Amino acid sequence: MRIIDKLKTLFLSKSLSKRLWLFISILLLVLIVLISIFSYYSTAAAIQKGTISFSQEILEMKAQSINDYLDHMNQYSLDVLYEPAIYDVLNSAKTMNKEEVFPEIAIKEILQNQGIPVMDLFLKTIIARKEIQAIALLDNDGMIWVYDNDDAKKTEIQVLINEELFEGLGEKAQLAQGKQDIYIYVEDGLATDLFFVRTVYSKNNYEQLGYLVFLADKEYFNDIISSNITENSFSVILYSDEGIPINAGEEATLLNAIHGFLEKKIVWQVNNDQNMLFVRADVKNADWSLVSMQKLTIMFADIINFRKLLIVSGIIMCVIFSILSGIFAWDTLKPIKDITGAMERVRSGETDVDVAVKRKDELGYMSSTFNTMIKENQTLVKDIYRAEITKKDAELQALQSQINPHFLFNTLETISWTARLQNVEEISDMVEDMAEIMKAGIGKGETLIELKTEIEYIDRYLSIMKKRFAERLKVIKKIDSGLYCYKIPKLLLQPLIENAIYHGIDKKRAGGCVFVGVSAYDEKIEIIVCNSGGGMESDEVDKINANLSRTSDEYFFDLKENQKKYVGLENVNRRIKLYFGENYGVKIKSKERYYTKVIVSLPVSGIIEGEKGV
Amino acid sequence: MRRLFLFISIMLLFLSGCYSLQTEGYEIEEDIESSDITLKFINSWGGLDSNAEGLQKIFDDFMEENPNIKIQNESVGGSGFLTKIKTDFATNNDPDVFGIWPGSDMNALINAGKVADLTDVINADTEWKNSFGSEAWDYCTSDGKIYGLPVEIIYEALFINTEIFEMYDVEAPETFEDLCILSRMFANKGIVPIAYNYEAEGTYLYQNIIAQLGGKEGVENVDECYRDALYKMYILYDIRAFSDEAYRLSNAQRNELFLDGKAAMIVQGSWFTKDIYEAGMGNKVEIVPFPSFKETQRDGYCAIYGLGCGTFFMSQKAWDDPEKREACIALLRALTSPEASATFSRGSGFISNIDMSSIIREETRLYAMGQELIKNAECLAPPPDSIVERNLWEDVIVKSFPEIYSIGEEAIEELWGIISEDN
Repeated sequence: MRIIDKLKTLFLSKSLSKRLWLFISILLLVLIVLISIFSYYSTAAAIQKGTISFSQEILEMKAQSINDYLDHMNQYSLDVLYEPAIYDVLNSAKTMNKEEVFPEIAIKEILQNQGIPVMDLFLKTIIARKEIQAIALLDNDGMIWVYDNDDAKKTEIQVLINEELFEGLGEKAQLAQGKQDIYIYVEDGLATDLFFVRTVYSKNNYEQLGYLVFLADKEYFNDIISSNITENSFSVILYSDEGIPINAGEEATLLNAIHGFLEKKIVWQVNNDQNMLFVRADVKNADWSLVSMQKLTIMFADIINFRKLLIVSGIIMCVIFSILSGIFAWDTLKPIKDITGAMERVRSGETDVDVAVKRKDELGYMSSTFNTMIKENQTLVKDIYRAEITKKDAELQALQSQINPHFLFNTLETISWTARLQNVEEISDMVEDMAEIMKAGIGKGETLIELKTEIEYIDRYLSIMKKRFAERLKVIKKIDSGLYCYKIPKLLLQPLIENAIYHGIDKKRAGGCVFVGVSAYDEKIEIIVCNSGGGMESDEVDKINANLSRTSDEYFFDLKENQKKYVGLENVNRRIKLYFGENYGVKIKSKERYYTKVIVSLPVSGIIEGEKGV
Repeated sequence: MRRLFLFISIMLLFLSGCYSLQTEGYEIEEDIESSDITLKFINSWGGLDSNAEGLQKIFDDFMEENPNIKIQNESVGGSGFLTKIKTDFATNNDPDVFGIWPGSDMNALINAGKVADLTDVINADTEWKNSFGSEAWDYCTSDGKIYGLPVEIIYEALFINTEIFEMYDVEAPETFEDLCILSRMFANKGIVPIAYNYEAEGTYLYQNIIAQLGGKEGVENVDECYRDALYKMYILYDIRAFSDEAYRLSNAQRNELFLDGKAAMIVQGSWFTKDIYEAGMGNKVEIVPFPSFKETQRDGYCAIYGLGCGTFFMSQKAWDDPEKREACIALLRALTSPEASATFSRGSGFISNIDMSSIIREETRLYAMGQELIKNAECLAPPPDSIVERNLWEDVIVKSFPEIYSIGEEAIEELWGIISEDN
């Protein structure tokens, strides 16, 4: 298990592309090997099956021929036994031997003469039938009548039959009780002669009279077994029921192997030791078995070539598949790698990161989604950044403004009281007004105040301004009193009125008029501050309006290098946009030498929204 | 991971198991023995025999009723029958069921242990046993054991051509003297008096003379009647009672002499009746007792009577084969059924030992004559050729007649010497 764990660790330590390549390569390799093994074994099995089936067909054919041969031999000997001459001579021999009237030599001569019809019968039988080499009739005392196709062998056969009769041939014939049996003469473990024997019984009392022996023509018999076999690698052996090879001239080791095969009682066997395929078929009429032998190397010659072809094609396929799997792994992992690289850059602080998207599959979708995500992230970061800056600025300004307000207010209170004591009411009023305005500006109170309160602040401011400008300043107010309760950012209008006075009225000797109007329409509150000053050039107006209409992002982006012009106006404008959104803010209309109009738009229901936004 | 590894290993092992080449073929199955049983049957009702057709019909019906039993009918008609059945037994080629007439051949087979003892089988079925005429059991019983089932009863008698007899206005011979007178007369008229040949079948004449001379005892004891009969045969030859060409006539030619109306008489057996009917001679033939050696036939005559080849046996070999035994018994039942006897007796004079009262059948004229002949016989003797050993009969006695006719007494005495010595 340690090895498995080590392998697992090693595997996991490799890059994804290497792992993927390894996976695909192993998969393909296993696939190729399995297909090769299956193809090899399937083909080998088919060849083996075909050879077995071919061998079986040949063997069945031969078994049938041998069955027919045995039937014929049986019928031939039966035909001979239907002939009365056989019984005549055997009965005569029995009688003569029993009576012992004549000397033995004389009896033999007489019997040979009496056996002439039998010899004629044998002659006729042999001439017409190629299966038979010799026929012999024997009585119980060893008297023999033989006819051999080859006259030269007659004595040899006679001696052989006589010897074998007492060795086992006779016993075998007797056991068959008149039926034909086969006696195989074995010399040095090999069958040399095949005898078909019958005991001859008297037809009157069924006592044994002698034996009838047919000697098979070995050449004819071997022809039956070996005919139609043209292949050198294929041969057939016939085995007797006692395990004697009848037609074999094979080596002893091979014969032992065949013995083993026959004892197993199986139909075929692949014997690798002998490099042989054995197939068996039985000859039913004699309990014999036919065994065919086919050399395995010759049988599998084609499959060995096929195996070589499989190995070569397997190697080629492995190489091709390895390359292809490498390409596939690279193609699949390249976008992942790109995304991983981009992620690494983002992590190191880079914000402007973009992954090239060239594909439209799942990986392409992943890349484009990543890009979108990074962009949204940037926007979010900027928003937070800006909000933080705005907050800081406001806090800074507030701090700057809060320079000991108590001391300032107390001083202003002292000035007011001094002026009042000296009956300079005017100074006292001015100082009070100023103190109120400063309270509103410096005080920490609410950031949003009712419109009514804002108008009160403006009135105090204008009261001071009127002391300075006297008749040169005229103020007209047109305020929808229904809007008094709406809340607006504190000191929103003061800078606008201040601008109207200092940039409009102040520049005209004759003075001018400042109009302040508050009205509502289209779900908006519109505040107009107009002065009848010198007005502005239209280019200037466009420029200011362009600046005012910038989004907060653009404004903050430009903030660093921007000149400090129109700060009041910008301040009001930005405050509105930050509170209520980009749809609201300040616009300027102006006609040179006639007027300048500042239009502030606020949402009617935006106060709550504005509160949330801050 | 471990599970995956295990799974792959198992799969590879499984696949390698599936795909390794087989090295040995299936075991040889023991031959499934066919449920068909083949029974070999032999009797003499083969070839042109009058019962061959009826026998085959019975076999066909039996095989139809018993589709798993096949009958191989190897019956051989004529003289080949005995050679065939004896050689088959001698060469262990035994028939399963066979028919043979009781006598020396049957006894030889029983003594050699080749015939099954049917005593228990037949005794176990009383109805079956009672369907046989009880007198016939003795013929096929040996040492108290029943071996054969007696169906066919045979007799031998003198068959006369009534047309010829009426033409010459003569009566059927009652005594041997009458026979001699008639023979001389017919011979003179150019008519063959007695259809006879030198084959074994020709000896029916000789056998009837033996029976008339010796009666049942004489026949069974093989006494001098066998010799005396040879003298009588010599007399008949001498008075030209036979055709001049008798020595070279076959059995069929001999029968044809009578059936063609060229011979006035023939000594034959009951089986011959079918041939008579087939030759259209049914109304021109009468069956009469063989002439006696007494003064008149009314004083009594002896008829040769016995069982024919329709006596059925089962071989011991078939009995020992448990599959064949029951099939053989079934076949024996079929062969001994009243229906089978009715088939054999149709259009012939076949006399059955089976009770056929349950069967409606047509009795022929010759059948009735045969029954009458048996009924009126003073004694019933077995055929002498079934008493004397077959070899002696066929190879010695039958073959001695030419010599007897040419030499006479000396040859007769020599032959008698051989016969008496053997018995």
